[in-house]
Amino acid sequence: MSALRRAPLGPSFRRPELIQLDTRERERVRALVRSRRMRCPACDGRRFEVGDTLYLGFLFVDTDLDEYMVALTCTNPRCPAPRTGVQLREHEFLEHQRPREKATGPAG
Amino acid sequence: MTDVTLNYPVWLRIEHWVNLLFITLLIRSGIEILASYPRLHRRNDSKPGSEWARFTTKTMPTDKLYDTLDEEESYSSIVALPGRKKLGMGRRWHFVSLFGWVLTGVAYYILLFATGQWHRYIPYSWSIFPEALDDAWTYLQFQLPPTLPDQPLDALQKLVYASVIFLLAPFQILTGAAQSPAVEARFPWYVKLFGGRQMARTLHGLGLLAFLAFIPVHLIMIGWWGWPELTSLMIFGHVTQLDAAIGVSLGIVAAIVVIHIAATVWSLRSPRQVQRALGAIIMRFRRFALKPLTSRQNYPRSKLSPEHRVNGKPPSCAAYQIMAVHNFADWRLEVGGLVENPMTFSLADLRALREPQTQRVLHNCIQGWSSIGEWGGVPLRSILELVRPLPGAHQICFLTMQNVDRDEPAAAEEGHGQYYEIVDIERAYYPQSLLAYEMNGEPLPIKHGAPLRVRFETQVGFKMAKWIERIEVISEYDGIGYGMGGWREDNVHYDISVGV
Repeated sequence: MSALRRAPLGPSFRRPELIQLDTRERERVRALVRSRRMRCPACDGRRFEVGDTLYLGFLFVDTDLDEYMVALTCTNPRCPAPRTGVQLREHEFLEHQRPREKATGPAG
Repeated sequence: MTDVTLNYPVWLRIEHWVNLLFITLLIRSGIEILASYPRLHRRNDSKPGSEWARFTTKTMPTDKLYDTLDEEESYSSIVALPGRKKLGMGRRWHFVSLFGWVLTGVAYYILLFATGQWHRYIPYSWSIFPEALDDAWTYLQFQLPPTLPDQPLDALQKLVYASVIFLLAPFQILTGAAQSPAVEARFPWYVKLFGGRQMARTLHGLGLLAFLAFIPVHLIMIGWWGWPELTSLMIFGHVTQLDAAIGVSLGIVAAIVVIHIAATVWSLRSPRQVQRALGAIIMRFRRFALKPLTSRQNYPRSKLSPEHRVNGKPPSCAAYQIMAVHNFADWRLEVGGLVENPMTFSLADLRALREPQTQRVLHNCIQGWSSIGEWGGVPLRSILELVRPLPGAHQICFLTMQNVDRDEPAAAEEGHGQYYEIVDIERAYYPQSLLAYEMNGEPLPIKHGAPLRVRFETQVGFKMAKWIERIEVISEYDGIGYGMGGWREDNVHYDISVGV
């Protein structure tokens, strides 16, 4: 057994599979959510903050190779389950292609 | 020179034919085990593409996660016992045959030395080596060399039989033991003697090839030296009734073939019966010899595998993917069942319980590959101390978010539903039984079971459930699934306790 650790992982860490979006990409996601009239499944709210994205194509068996899940957080302060997401194609929101091997998570 | 007449006593004749049965069962069931991961590596990490030998033509995708279940081969029942991707059955036949083979071998060794028959195999002087070379040259000229004085074998035969009996057979047992996760975990130095887990598997495979080479050479030699006479010696103990001897020997071989066919058909048609019947024998040994072993591994960081292999595929559903993209903030672990204080934990709760315990250990997949990883998390005993199991709690069931029908098409041919695994509750109190939320110093990757998986370092990988969402403390597992102790035990007939 070992108590050795490289660095403490705080609660605010970002999972290595997650990809941070830039401002333009977040705006594209917001526009898509608006155009699809997406509503919060928990409170029916219509406004969301856009978070990170997860590349699904590599990790999940029945997803297409260009599919991503984008984190959405309902901005309604009374929403009982504000964390949701939207599945998008790469060309719909990404400004530039990310290296997919990185998006699959750390080696090991 | 010996004062013992090197004849063919009855015990030696019986052992010979019994050995033929067990060695052929071991070879065929060994090929079944090889089929489940048809590659041989030198290094512990079993890095894809680094194998020095492969017995498959499958190629794996580079743009989609694959696991070693996808790499499994289905070999014909003619070469494998029972064939058709039945690793659970193959392992059972291999271990039961091993017991029979070892018992036969021990009796053989004792009788060999007690009766003086060891003279037929143990060389008396170094001069046997040049004599054996001379014999080999004689055989290459298609002539028969002379036997050693007062002995039934020539020098080359004596050396070869001695090597098979006193070197190859123990070598196979020792390299087999080096592939047991329980042995490796308790005695890490032992597996290092063989150059690591994959070298032990490689050496075991080469030993299998040596046996496969020995058998036809042995038969050719018998044919050359006089099939009827030698068969008569091995049936009646002396040269007499040659036709009857050949008839009886063919009858014994036919009986062995019938046993093989019966074992194959039984395994393919009624695997549950075989699982229960052979499992009863195997489990007694495991509970006695392997269960008390606890892991004492702590590999240096430099030994961590650059790419840890994967088995099982992540839950392919929006609910899981949404949790993942939000850092699993909404994930909860329920711990209940036969406990005094049922509890629910978030990932942050688990992290807040204590500084993570970390362990750098060798991971063994039941299929045969291995990798070394560092796992960090909360000891399972810490959780049990909080929920306080009630009297009568004997096992722990780990329920996961993986749905085999949806997530694991290769396995869905065999069974369905939610993946779960069960262990005896005392295993939870072993020092390295861990609920891991970190791997190699980073959050546990999705492909390795995020947000939480369990680690039991003396077991093979399938017992270490990934993508866990609930832990249930139970009294007995008979009523869960098909009552065999886990999804793989229920559907592909593995063992509930897999320390080897």
